[in-house]
Amino acid sequence: MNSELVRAAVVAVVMVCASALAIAITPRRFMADEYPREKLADIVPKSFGKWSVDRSIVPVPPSPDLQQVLDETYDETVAITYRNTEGKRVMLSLAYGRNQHKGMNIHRPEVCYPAQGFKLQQGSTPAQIAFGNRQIDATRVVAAMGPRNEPITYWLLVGDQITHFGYPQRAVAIRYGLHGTVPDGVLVRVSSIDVDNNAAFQLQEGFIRDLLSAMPPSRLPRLLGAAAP
Amino acid sequence: MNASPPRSLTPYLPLALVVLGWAAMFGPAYWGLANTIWASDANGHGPIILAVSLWLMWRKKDELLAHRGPPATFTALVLLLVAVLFYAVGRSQTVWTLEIAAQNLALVAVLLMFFGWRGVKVAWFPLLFLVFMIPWPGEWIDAVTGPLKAAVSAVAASLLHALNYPVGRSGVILTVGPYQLMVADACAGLNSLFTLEALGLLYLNLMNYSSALRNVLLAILIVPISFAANVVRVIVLVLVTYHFGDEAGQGFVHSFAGLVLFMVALMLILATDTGLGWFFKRVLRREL
Repeated sequence: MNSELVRAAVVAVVMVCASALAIAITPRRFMADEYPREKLADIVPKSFGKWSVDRSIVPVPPSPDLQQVLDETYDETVAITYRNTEGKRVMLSLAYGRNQHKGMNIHRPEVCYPAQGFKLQQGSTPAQIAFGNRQIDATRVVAAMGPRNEPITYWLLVGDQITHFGYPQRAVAIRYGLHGTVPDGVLVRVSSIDVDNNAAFQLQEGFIRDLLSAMPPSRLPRLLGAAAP
Repeated sequence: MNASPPRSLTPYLPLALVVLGWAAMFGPAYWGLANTIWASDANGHGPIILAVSLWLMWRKKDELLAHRGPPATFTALVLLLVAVLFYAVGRSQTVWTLEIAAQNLALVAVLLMFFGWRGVKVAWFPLLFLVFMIPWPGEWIDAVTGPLKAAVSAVAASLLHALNYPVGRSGVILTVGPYQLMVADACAGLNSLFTLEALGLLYLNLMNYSSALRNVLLAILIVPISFAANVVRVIVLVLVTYHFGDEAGQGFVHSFAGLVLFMVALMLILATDTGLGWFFKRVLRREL
């Protein structure tokens, strides 16, 4: 009887300690508060090189229920269509979430396109995009619906680290979290509508380089992480 | 003579201590669940699983007290520490799978601590049932939901096509006549699969069949049954939209189709179980 009471006390103490431990190691600092985080819409140049914003295309607003999901998931989303001097169009889409611990739920294109009725014509393939002296660890996918073939290049930045969706993203967020910081995250997605996947990927890569080159170096960390030169 | 209150309360003191510790550890977890993922499609069944597990444990209390084995203190402590690790990382870093899996480990640890391995054996079913409460990692849900949705849409479309309805399909988008419907995540049936699987296991447990084969067969058959029920739900929605218009399909009938799903699934489960019973009795000539 007595030993039972002792064992119960041990169990209770361990459990209360577990609760205290979890509270103690819960990160409370937000990267989003510790670094200047200007609005993405303000730091993206509107006209650079041979590219400028195409105002003739008004993006179709998402359906109300999709908009609700977007609002719950992201703290800022930007969607801009650019057009170059040759008349080629590229869509830039940025999504920012200040809390990468909130279910860690930046939506990955491999999931969100099929959810809207697209088919993945080509699964994710890694693509290194050289910019200055660094390599951007990007991913390429091709989504298609009916006659619309949409090659996509994207990368995901969590805190200051470019990573991949799924477990790598979680691992990065947890690593930050165990050091006391909740990282924020940006999804940078570039896509164009083109039946020629390779031509589209070339166009997108050129666009990404032109865009980043046109940004002042002090703003690059916002899209590439602080390791940017 | 005069029974002193302390004496009558003493036997409950260990239980009270454990419940207190449990509340300190998992109270915040339940509160967090209630405010977040229990509201989502994939984990809506969570609170029911928790409540039913509690009830199942309660039903086992006399058996537990009667069949007390020697406590496995060391194993219990090791398990409890693993649970603490899972919990601390899961809770602080918002990894629900770890946080709630810790609950299942802690429950096994508590049983080992006070009732030994015999206690775990007695309570095996509530313990198994509680596994359904562990939220899947988002990656798993995403990996299963997409293909499941496509399959539900494909089967529904080809059945309607066979019935001469003007149906077209592109991925998860169905067109019928002038209308276009998108098969949503909820229609993929992952949430209803969990709920039905849990309900099916509960049914089997209450029916108390002695044949393990029959139990396992029915538990496995619930997967295609849940799939079929989701196909029926999509077909009902397509037909309602086609015959009565878009608003009918999106309004009350949409929620009603969810009910249809469960009715169809439960009827199929009962029919399958009856069929299995007949098969075992007549064909295999086995006692149940």
